[in-house]
Amino acid sequence: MVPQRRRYALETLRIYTRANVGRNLKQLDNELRELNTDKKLEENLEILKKIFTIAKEEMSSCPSFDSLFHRIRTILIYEEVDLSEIVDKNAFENLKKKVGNKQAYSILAFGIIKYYIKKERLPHPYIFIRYDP
Amino acid sequence: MISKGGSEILKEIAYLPQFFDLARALKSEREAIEELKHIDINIEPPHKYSKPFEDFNRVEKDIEREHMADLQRKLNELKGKLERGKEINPEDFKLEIITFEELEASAKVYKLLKEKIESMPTEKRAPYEQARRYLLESGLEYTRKELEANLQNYLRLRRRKRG
Repeated sequence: MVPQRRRYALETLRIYTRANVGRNLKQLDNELRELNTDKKLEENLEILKKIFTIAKEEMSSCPSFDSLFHRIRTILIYEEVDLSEIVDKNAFENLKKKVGNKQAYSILAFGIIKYYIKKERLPHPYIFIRYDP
Repeated sequence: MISKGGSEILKEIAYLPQFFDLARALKSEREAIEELKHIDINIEPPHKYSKPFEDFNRVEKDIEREHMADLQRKLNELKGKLERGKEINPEDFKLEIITFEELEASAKVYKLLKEKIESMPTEKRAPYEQARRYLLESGLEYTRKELEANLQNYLRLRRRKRG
């Protein structure tokens, strides 16, 4: 059984992905496959742990979706993590040309959050809610 | 099969009020839209309205350009301070960011700050670490507004499609 918390997180993510980058989760999956993101994260879970450790720094244990998304996208823009460890760099450059920088980084940030929810390998009690608790 | 402990279940239940709040907000919004549907609106030909909108867009662009120039000046100052090794005030790194381009522009200062932290002894890192956190947090308000506006547009379009 999918826990309530995770189901709700996926539902919120579905709405936000659709609204912000105009993609449903299936399309997002296809794009991420081209970027090789899931495979790279699968091979290097440490990088995912690093992203979420920085993202949760000084935040409440239950951050809003907005603040978490902002942190993750900013970490990617600031290259706090080596992007080549998360994506196929050429494919990412192509995506940037196709949809613009903002959209490309947003797609990647959504992808990372989705991968995290899907795997739930890290023991953070995150729930991606719209409103701050 | 019961596999969860009591505290685990309590944790899950604790999120339910937030879920209901969201559901209630969406429902009341839907009801408000239903009411609006019955109001007749006469729309004048677009040319009568395009001028004020064009003016508004121009003003908005001017504000953004001006803000970007101010931010760039501030970023250059911060960069100079870091390069010269001067003492920094972490509060200066709380930047007001209003566009995505500004978010990208601050990346160089962030990189410099990170290099500085790595080259420093641990006991001297505290203000720089604080500055790094402030910089990471800058622009949250912009992101929040961006997500909110996109979500509202999406909901409006979906409602219009459903007719």
